[in-house]
Formats: sequence, C-alpha cells, structure tokens
Amino acid sequence: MENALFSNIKKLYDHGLYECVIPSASLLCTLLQNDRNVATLEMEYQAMLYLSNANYKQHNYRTACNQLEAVVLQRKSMLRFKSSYLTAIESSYPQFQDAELRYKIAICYQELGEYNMAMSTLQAVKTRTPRLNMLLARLMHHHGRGVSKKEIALAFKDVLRECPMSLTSIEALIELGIDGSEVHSMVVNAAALPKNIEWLSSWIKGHAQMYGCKHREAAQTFQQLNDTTSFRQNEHLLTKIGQCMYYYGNFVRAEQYLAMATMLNPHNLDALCPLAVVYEFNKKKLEQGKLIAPLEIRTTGEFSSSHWFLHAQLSYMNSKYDRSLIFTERALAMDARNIEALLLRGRLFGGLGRHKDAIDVFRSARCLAPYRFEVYKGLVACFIRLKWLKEAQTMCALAVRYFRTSPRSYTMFGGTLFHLANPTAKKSARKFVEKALQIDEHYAPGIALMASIYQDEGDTQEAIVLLRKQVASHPHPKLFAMLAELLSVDKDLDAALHYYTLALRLDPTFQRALDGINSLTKAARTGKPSDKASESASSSSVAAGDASNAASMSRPCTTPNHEWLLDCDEASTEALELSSPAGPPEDVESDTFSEPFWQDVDGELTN
Amino acid sequence: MMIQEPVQAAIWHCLNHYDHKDAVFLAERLCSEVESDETIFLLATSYYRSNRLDQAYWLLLEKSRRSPQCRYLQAKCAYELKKYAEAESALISSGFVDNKHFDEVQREFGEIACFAYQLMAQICMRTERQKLAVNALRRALKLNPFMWHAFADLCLLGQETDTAAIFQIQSTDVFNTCQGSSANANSMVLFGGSAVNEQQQQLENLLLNNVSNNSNYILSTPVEQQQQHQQQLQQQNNNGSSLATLQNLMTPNNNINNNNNNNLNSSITMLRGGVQQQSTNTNSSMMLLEDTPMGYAAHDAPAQQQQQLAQHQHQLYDANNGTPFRKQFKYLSAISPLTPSFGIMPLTSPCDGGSAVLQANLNLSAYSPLPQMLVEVNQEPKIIGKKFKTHVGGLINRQEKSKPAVFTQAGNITPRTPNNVVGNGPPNPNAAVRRSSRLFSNSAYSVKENNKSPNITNNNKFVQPRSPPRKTKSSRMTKICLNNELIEEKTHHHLAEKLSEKQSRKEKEKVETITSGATAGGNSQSTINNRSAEEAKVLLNNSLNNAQTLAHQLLSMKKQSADGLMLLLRDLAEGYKLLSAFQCKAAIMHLEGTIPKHHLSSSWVQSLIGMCRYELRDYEAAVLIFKRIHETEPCRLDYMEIYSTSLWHLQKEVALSALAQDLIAQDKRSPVTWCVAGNCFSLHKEHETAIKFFKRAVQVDPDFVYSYTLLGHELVLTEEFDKAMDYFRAAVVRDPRHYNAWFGIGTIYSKQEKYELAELHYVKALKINTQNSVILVHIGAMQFFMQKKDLALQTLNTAATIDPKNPLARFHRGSIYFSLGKYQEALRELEELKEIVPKESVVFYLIGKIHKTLGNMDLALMHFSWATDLDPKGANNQIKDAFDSMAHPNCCPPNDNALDVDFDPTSERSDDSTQAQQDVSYDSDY
Repeated sequence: MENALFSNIKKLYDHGLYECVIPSASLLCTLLQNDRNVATLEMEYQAMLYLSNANYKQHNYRTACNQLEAVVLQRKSMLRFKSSYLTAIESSYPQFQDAELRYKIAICYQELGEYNMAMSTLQAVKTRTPRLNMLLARLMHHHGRGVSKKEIALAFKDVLRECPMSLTSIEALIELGIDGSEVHSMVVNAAALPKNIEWLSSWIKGHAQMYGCKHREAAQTFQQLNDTTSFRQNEHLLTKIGQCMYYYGNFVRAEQYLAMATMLNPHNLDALCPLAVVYEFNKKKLEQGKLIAPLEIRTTGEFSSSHWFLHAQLSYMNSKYDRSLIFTERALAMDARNIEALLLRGRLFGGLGRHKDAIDVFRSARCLAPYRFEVYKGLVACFIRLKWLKEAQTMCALAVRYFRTSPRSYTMFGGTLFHLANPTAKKSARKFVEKALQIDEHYAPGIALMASIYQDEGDTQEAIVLLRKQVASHPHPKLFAMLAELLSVDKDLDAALHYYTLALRLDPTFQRALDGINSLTKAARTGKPSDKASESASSSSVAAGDASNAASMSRPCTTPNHEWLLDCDEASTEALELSSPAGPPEDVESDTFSEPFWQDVDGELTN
Repeated sequence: MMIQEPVQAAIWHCLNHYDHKDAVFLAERLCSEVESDETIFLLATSYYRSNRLDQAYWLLLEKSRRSPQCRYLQAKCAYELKKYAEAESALISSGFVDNKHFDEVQREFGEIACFAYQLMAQICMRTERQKLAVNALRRALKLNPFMWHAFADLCLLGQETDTAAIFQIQSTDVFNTCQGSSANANSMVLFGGSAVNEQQQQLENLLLNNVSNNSNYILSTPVEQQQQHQQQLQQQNNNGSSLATLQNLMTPNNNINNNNNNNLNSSITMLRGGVQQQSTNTNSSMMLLEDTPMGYAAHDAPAQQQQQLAQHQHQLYDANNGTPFRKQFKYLSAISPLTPSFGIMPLTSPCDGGSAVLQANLNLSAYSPLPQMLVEVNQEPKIIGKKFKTHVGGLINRQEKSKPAVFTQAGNITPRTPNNVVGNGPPNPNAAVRRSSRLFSNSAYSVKENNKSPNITNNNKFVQPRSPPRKTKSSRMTKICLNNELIEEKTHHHLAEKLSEKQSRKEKEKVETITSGATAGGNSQSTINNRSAEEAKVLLNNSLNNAQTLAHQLLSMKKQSADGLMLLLRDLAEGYKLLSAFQCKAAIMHLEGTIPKHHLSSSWVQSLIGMCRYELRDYEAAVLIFKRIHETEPCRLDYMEIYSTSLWHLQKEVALSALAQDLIAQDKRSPVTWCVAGNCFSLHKEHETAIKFFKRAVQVDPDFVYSYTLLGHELVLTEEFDKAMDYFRAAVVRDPRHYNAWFGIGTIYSKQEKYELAELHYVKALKINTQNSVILVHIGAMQFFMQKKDLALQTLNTAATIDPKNPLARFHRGSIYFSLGKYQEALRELEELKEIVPKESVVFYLIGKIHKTLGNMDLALMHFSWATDLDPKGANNQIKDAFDSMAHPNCCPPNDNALDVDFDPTSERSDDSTQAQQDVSYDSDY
C-alpha cells in the first residue's frame, strides 16, 4: 500500500499537482508514523520533502516553514547514515538540495514577516549561491535593523562577483553610498564579464550621479546612453531619464520621458508613480485619470503599494485629502519604502496643518532617500510653519551641502533667509540667490526671488531689468504678472498692460493678471494729482505688491523651483498647499537667533 | 534592403498621386517588415499626408528616431496638436530653445533647417518668446528667401524688416538650402530605377520604370544627339551619317515650323513626335534608329509594351502640338521686357503644349532631381529670349524667328560658338544647343549640381573624377551584361555616385544602341567598340572642358531665374509690410505702382489692396474690389470676412445675405463662413443669432482672431460687457497686434466710465494702427472726460488732419469748443460739419444749443426743430428738454452734463464711424 501511495505521490508531485500532493503526502506521513514497520528513513524523508515543498508551492508558508525546518533537521541525520541515497534524490530533484531548502525557509520567514529569522537562516548557510546572497542582501537592506551598510554591501558584492551584470545589485550598492568608481572596478574586474561593454560604465555613472544628488547630470548621462547606443527607447532607460528629470524639478521634460516609458509598457509602475506626481505639477488632471485606467485590477491580491499610491495621488488631485491619506497609509503598509507615498503623505499632513506628523514622515523619507530634494523642501516648509527657524536653517544648509549643482537648494536657502526679519539675514539671502543664478541664470524661482530682493532694497529698476531679461527667453505667467506689477508701480502703465496681456496669453484664467489690469486705473489715478500722493500711492502699492509678492515669494522659499510657479495658484483653492504662505516670521523667534549663526552662511557657501 | 527599396518607391509614388490609403497600407507593411529611420519616416509621412496627425505623432513618439526628417515631422505634428513643449523638445535635444541652439539646429537639420527654424519660430510665438521667434524667422529667410510666410510672420510680429535685404539671393549657395531635393527623394529615383532593372516583371515597377524612362528620354535626347553629332563630325569618312545628321537636324525644325512651335522643349518633343511620324513614313533608317526613345532601348521591356507606350506618348505629343503658346511668350516679353519672368517658365508654361513634359514633371517631382533639370532647360530659352532681342534684333527673318529659342541659345550660351548667330545656319546652333543641354542632362554633372546629394556641400561639385573612366569602361560592355553590372555595382557605391553612374551608363547604352543601329547594316561588334571608345574620349573631353563653365552657367541661370522672383517678392513684401504697419495709403500706392499688371490683377494682391481700402474706411472701394474677387474666384475664402464687414458698414443687406448664402453652401468648416453669416444677422439686428454664428466661428477655428473681435462687438451691442471683455481679451491674447480688439476693450472700459483704462487701451490700439482717426477721436473723448481739455483738443486736431472727412472728429471738436466757451469756433466747426453730414440731428441740436447760449433764440429754435425733424423718435427727450428750457432761458446754462451725453463713446463695431452707425449710437445715447 505504502509503496503504491508513495509512487503515486511522486507522480503527482512530478506533474506539479501540488494541491493533490498535500493530502496524500500527509496521509502517507501519518501512515509511516503509525506503522513504523513499513517506514523506511528514505521514504519518510522523501514524503516529508514532497509535503513541505507542496505546501510551499501552495503558499502555505507557515506550515511549509515548520515542515521544511524538520526536513532540514532530518537531512542532517540522513547525511550521517545514508548519504548515497541523499545524493540520489538530490541529483534527480535539484530543488531538494540543502541550500535550496534553506532558501525556501527564508522565503517563508520573509512572507511571514520574520525577517530576522530569515536572515539568520540564510546566514547559517556556509556557501551561499548568488540567489541566496541576493535574498540576504535585500532582506538586510530593507529590513535589517542594526545591520551596518558594510555588511549589506558585502552581500551585494558577493552577488556581483559571480554575476557582474546584476544591474539591480549595482544600483543597490550605489544607493547604499558605495562609490561609483569602486562598483565599476568591481564589475569590470569580474571574470565573467564580457569585454567591451562601455555602456555599463555609463549606466553605473548615471546611477552614481542620480544617488549623488546630481540629477541633471544623471539625466544627461542616461540621455546620452539613449541617444548613442542601440538601447534607444528602452523603457527602463526612459524611466531613469524621466525620474532624474523629475528629481531635478524639470517636470515638463520628465513628463515626456515618463509618458514615453508608460506608452511602451503601461504597467511599468516605476514610471507610473513619478508620472502621476508630474502630472499633478503640470496640472494635467485628464491624463492623470487615464493613468489608472489600464491598472483596473480585478483581484485585490495584485494590488501593490504602487497601486495604492496611484489612487492616493488621484484623490489628492481631486482634493479628496482624507481618502488620499488613507490610501497612502495602505501603500506604506505594504511597502514602507515607497518614497513617493511618503512624500505625498508628508505633503498631506503639512497641508492639513499636522506639521509634526509631516516632519516625522519627511524624516523617515530622508532616511530612505536622502537624494530627494522634496524631502528637504518639505522639512524646511514644516519648520518654517512651526517657526522652528534654527532647524529650518540647518536643513537648508544640509540641502545646500547635498545639492551642490542644483539652483534649487540655494534658492531655498536664500528664500528662507529673505523672509526673516533680521536685516543681516536678508543681506545674506542675496548671496545665495546669486549663487543659484550663477548655476542656472534662467532659474525662474531664483529670478523671482532676486527680483523681490531688488525690490525690497528699493531698486525697482534693477528688478524690472532682470525680469525683462528673463521673460524674453523664459516666459512664465507669474513672472509676467510680477513684472507688470513692478511696472505699474513704476507708472509705466502701457508696459504693465503689455505684460499683463502676455501673462493672460499663457494662462487665460490667470486671476492675478486680470486683477492687475483692473487695478491699473487705480495706479493711474493715484499717480496723477501730486507728488506726495503718488509717493503714498506707490508706497501703498509697493506694500500691496509686497503683500502679493509675499504671497508668491514666500512660496519660493518653501517650494523653490518650478513647482513653486505651478503651486502658487493652488493657494487660493486650498490651505492644503504645503507651500502656502509661510508668513514672514517677524515676531519674537527671529530675535532668538544668535548673530553668529549668520556668519555660518558664508561658510556654507564656500563648502 | 533589396526588397525595401522598390517598395519605398511605390509608396512615394502612391503618395505623390494622392493615393494616401494605399500609401499608408504599404508603408505599414514595410514598417512591420523593416524598422528603420526611413521606413518610419515614410509611414509617418503617409499618416501625415492622409491627415492622421495623431497617428503620425504617436508613431514618431513611440518609435522615436533621431534622423532630422523624423524629428522635424514629429515636431510639426506636435505643434499642430498644440503640444508645444513636446514639439520643442523634438526639435532641440535639450528641450528649450535658446539663442545658442540656432547653429546647432542648422547643423543637425541640414537642408530642412529653414523649415525647422520656421517651426521653432512658430513655437516661440505661441509661448511668448518674440525675440527668439524673430531671430529664427530671420535665419529661415536667410537660408531660404522663398519662404514668404516667414516674412509675413515677421510683419505680424511688428518687426521692422528690410525687404530688399531679405528677398535677394546674395550667393548661389542659397540654392543649397532652399531647393533641397531631399536625400530620400534622390534615393528614391535611384532605387526605383535600378530595382526596376532587376525586377521588370513586376507590374507596378514597370510603371515606375516608364516614368524614369520618360524623364531620361526627354532630357537626354539632345545629349545623345550631340554625341552622335560630334562623333560624326570626327568621323568624317562617313558621309551618310553626317547627311543623316543634317537631315535629323532639319527635320524637327520643319516639323516645328509646321506646327508653329518655337520653344526648345517642344522642339525636343516635336523631334520625338516627328520621329514617330517618320518612323511610320519614310526617311532614313538611321534617323529612325537615332531618334528612337532611348529609354526603351536601354531597358529590356517587352517590345509590345514599348510600342504601346510609344504610341501613347505619340498621342500625347500630338495632342499638345497644336496649342498656341507663342502668344503667351510674346505677351510676356512685351509687358516686361526687363523683368526676368521667373517662375512662369515661359516656354514650358501650361500653354506651351508641354503637358507631356508637365506630366513627366509631375510624375517625377518626388522621385528625382530631374524636374529641376527640366526647369533649367526651360530657363535657358527664356534668357536667350531676352538676349535675343538685344543681339539679334531685327536681323532674323521670319523663318528663323519661328525657332528663336534654340537659335539664340546657341549664340549666347555656348561659349565656344559665340559668333554663329546668323551666318552659320542651323546645324551649328543646334549642335551648340545640344552640347549645352547635354550638359544639363549629363548625369554626372547636372545631377550632382541639382540634387543636394552629400557631395555638393563638399564643394567638389565640379570635379567628378570617377564617372568619365567609368564611361569608357561601360561603353565597352554589351547591353546584356549591363544589368548584371548594375546589380553588382549597386552594392558598392554611394547613392549619388550610383545615380550618376547609372545615368551615364544609360546614356552609354543609348549611344551604343544608336551606333549599333546606325551601322546596323554591316558593321561588326568591333567597330561599335571602336566607335564607342572614341566617342567616350570625346565625352570625357567635353565633360572636363565644359563642366566648370557649365556649372557656372547653370548657377547663374538659376540665380537669374530666382532673381526674377525675388524682384517681385521684394515689391510684394514692401507692400505687405506697409499694410501690416497700417500705412494703407502708402501700401496701395506701392502695390499699384510697382507690381506688374498680371500680378496686380491676381486675387491675392487685390485682396491686399481691398484690405487697405477697408482699413482706410473706404468701404465702397473695398467692396468693389472684394466683389470682383468673389466673382472671379467664388471659392476663395480669404478676406471674405473683411468683405462682409465692409458690406455691413455700408448696410448692403442683400449683398451680404447673398455672400453668406454662397459661403455657407461652400464650406461650413471655415471660420470665415460663420463670420460672414454672423455679420449678416448682425445687420438684420438679430444679435442673438449673430452671436450664435460668431461663436460657431470660434468653435470651428479657435485661432481665427477676427471672429473673437466680432463676437465681442456683438456682445457689446447686447450690453454684455463682461463676456465681451473676455472675447476681446481672447482676441488680443491670440494676436497682440489686432488693434480692433484693443479698441473694443477700450470701448467697454469707457462705457464703464473707467476712462484711464479706456485711454490706455485706445492708445494701445493707436500704437498698432497709427493712422486711424477714429481711435484718435476716442482718445480725445477720453481725455476730455479726464478733464484734459486742451490735450483732447489737440488729439482731435490730429485726428481731423489725418482724416479730414471724419465727421466724428469735427463734431467732438465742436463740442469741446462749446464746452470751452469758444462759441464762434464751435459754430464754425459745426456749420462745416453740417455740409459733410447734412442729416445728423445731433449736429443741429448742438448748433441750437450754442445759439441758445448765445441768446439767438430764433436760430436756436430753428435748429432744434430741424433736429426733431431729422430724428423724430430718438432724441425726443433731450430736444424737448431744450424746448422747455427755452421758456426759462436762465435755468439751463451749458453744462458738462449735456456734453457728457454727446460724448458718450459710440458703440460702434469694428471701430469705425459710419453715418449709419452714428445714427444708431447717438440714438441710444439720447
């Protein structure tokens, strides 16, 4: 009986009918337990193997885990007595080898959420295959507490040594902060690597730049890869370019590349998530809605963290903030490392006024992705809102230190300083903005901030000249409106009207410009009667301009980049905007700053 | 690749004959088979031409290609789909246009750089970067002075332009950038032709084959004859052949004489025709053989087909022979003897009976640079025709005159025989003609010259070391092995070289056939070889000697022809510039003064003049002009909206209704149609319907600015100021130089009593259209309301000087005098005004008021009653008040209130004060 049963179980297993294997194998096992006469060690061991593996295949991880542990134990004893039989089994079933069994145990523990057990299981294996190494590395990277980066990197390096083309481990290593050149030399020196693959070094370089906060350079590297090699139009490459553009803040270009990537593969979640965010910044609600459409998923099992995020983003776009918050929570529950979800959550908290929560979220995001500018931006915004100016300052300094090649960080620092009441602080703001413009002379938020600095210093003409130069090549409705306001204060009504019209041309429903045109009368009327009146008028309108600029300008300080320009409109619609006026903190706190702090600024610049 | 090429040719063939469906189908198949820059571009082009923009864009986006053609097309599609950012990044790799990118663009896009610039300019205009746009447009024009619309855009941007500098061809280099026959087209010919040699059984290819044969045939006959001629001259021992040559040369001439054909092309055609006839008739076998269309001999097409085709062509030529074209030529030379009549192609113009040529032209235009050669051949006689007059004058008798083109060409173009104008008789000139035209069609040089194959840019256009030796080589070969060689060589050589070689070989082939034919009686193969070898030498010599001079001649001819066009463009551009600066009087004067009559009478120039008239508010004249245009070209929609507005101003309801009917029946998808319809209903005072139609115009084409303005004016009439403001803004936003909309905004503000803003907007309008007295009047009114009376008076004076007939200006001036207490001046002003507009009650009312203040009760009463008579309804209350106050003269001093009423800006549409409109507006004011 037992022999017939055993051979049938074997047949079932060989045919892959795992769910049928489970009851029959368990029957056999019980039979062998109950009747030790018929039981042979071999048969019992093999029956256990079938049973545990069938359970594993059927995703009964908890059962499988226990059984596999038992199998591994039994294998040890088998090894002592019946090694010949063991080799026979393992030669016919390579998946029953020790390492594989342990790999399965580790997978079971991972599925059960017992990451430490999984790791220790894997670490117990003496000679790890790349597969085991990869799993170990991933586990340590994502779930390892108190595991040093060195250890993680070691695991990845083990993988890389045998499989030099493991691009994900390359990326992971770089993300861990290993120097790009080190990774490169490791890859190139690996014996298994075929010669003349120059693209790989560009690939590594691109990643190194991306995780080293040089997003624009990274985008260029990847773009070059796309243009010059025959990897043209690869979805991963396009996604990378798009991501880098997005990280850099160039949303228009990012959208183009990410859209192309999703066009090639509408299920590419790596591209979809940033694309959703980019659509939000580019205000493309329609496309955003369409983004979800191909992802209509029937079963909940398929729902991944990214899917939740996409829904969260859509709700956010549709101003359903509570729902969005719930969705981000789900997304994070499934994958705590979902950075986009973290950022969105941070923005949501900030917008809802729960700044402390927001700070927590942003801080955890910072641990995971220190290469994202948005993290710092969010933190600074929260600090400023809470008037924790010292922290804001430190965070700005950090951002400047990390993002040396980006004008965003300098502008953010400059903006923060500019909105302090402290006059010395204001002065040093200018240095930062100048530095930002030195990097990119057409950086719009920088220009805007610079113009308001000029205006603040009473040098309206200079501001006008600056803005005129900027809008000639880089038109933007906000800048047009700003320029027009300056001009109307300056009594150049005709030019003011001209620029208001231009602003309207780019954005026909731009309220600020419409109001501006209508208030031209006032400017004209108040200007005429007498000098004194005009002075008061101009000063009042300067004040008005200041107020309106403060509304717009305070944004550059919090979200200092293109999105500032895009975000501004939302101020009217929502208090939820994280970047809504951070109100120049003219009260007590600013006085609490010690003077020496301001001297650091220069040090910051030179570093 | 072997398979791909004929398919590409077939697709281009489909595209060129408007069979877009098949082109798309084939291109899709091809694209599925091979995915390369070329095939993708081909498919995208097919989509684009069959109006499937989205699909083309999607294709180019998904299969992103780096070739300039693809990128340009992608950008073009994106632009037309209003995705400006995408268009920009398709054109420029960094995604943002900057001044420093211009050179890069030029480098990357090569010969289509001018179009890339234009597209870039359009993108910049849409995104408010005027400076960049201007820069790009100027560069485009520099590369390609034929781009009129780039110039028009410059004018619309309000740029100061120097037309003389733009529309001129400084150096012949320009031709490299403005007459591009794209690389594709070149390769097309090549592939088509050579592939045909290999796969003659394919029917569609046969068609193509014929086409290419055709071209060769037309162009290369003279060559071949010349070769023959020279050969025979050298080999004087063969008397019969020289005789035959003479005959050969004479016969066509006779033919021509018989048929009254004078031009070179037709002489060539006639040669053919004559030969065909002769072949059936009599004459020497030599002639027959010599003149048999070579293309057929060269290819191994079935004899039957050959015959059919020949017959067909024969018919064609026959049919064309009778067409009189002489008249045209005469006419042209008569009216503008000094004008190089550029594009008219005097001798191949539609009248010249060359529809066969034209057809060939058509067939070929996309395939090859050959059409260009055609053009050149055609230009020749024109120049000759010019010189002919001066040189030969009356010396030539009637008979010679009947063939002036060929004749004089000999004298002037061929450098070697400069003196043989009259004395040397027909043979020499003919030879000369043939030599020169041989060089035109001599494959190696002329093709190089004309197409923009890569070599030409490398400046080695004159030296083509390769082909002459090849000629000798190939000349030794027999026909049979030629095909093989073709195949074999095809793989080795560069495209352009292939082209030239192939053609030279073809010629060789022809020569061979001829010679073999000529000596068909008893000559052995060796003689043929001998001869052809010698002949090859001659060819070599000729080509080396003539290449350089010829290339120069070619270029200068090209230049001369283009200069003719440039001359016209300069004049047109000057006129257009003046119009776009609203210097209407000057524009009319310029246009009428400089443009040659046959251009002046064209609808487009007439529309410009009509537009000027309209802007001058000379509606009668404008209507007259537009009416004529509409009658001659009833399908022309351009400027019909201006016509309708003119009719509206003149209140010609019937004509306007008829026009609206016409247009609606014609094209319901044009905004013009709906503007006209809206105007029509507006005239009928059915404002709601009018608004509906204007809105439809906006829907049909959101970029048609005038419909917004009309809609705005209409909404002003129905007192919906906010909406009207929106629409005026929309118009201004789309075209900042649309002064009418600025004026409309001003009107609204003045009605809302925001005088400062109103003045601001009026001034804006005035800055665009400086000559408009109506705007000035309104500015004056605004200034008056803002208590700047002196300034107002000054403004009104200016208005009156600009347009002395503007009654509004004078009326306002009178009113201001009155309010300033200068009664005598006011009276004088108003008395004069009374002469101009004798039926305005307001004028009489004002005069009455003045008299009242002056105490002349009788006069006052008289004027009041006149006013009442003229306008019994509208002004009742005011006048009644005035009458009442007569009883108590002291209680109603002249006050500003009364004036306010007078001064309320009139709510006219389209900024114009017409009498009728005044009635309406003043009525409502009272």
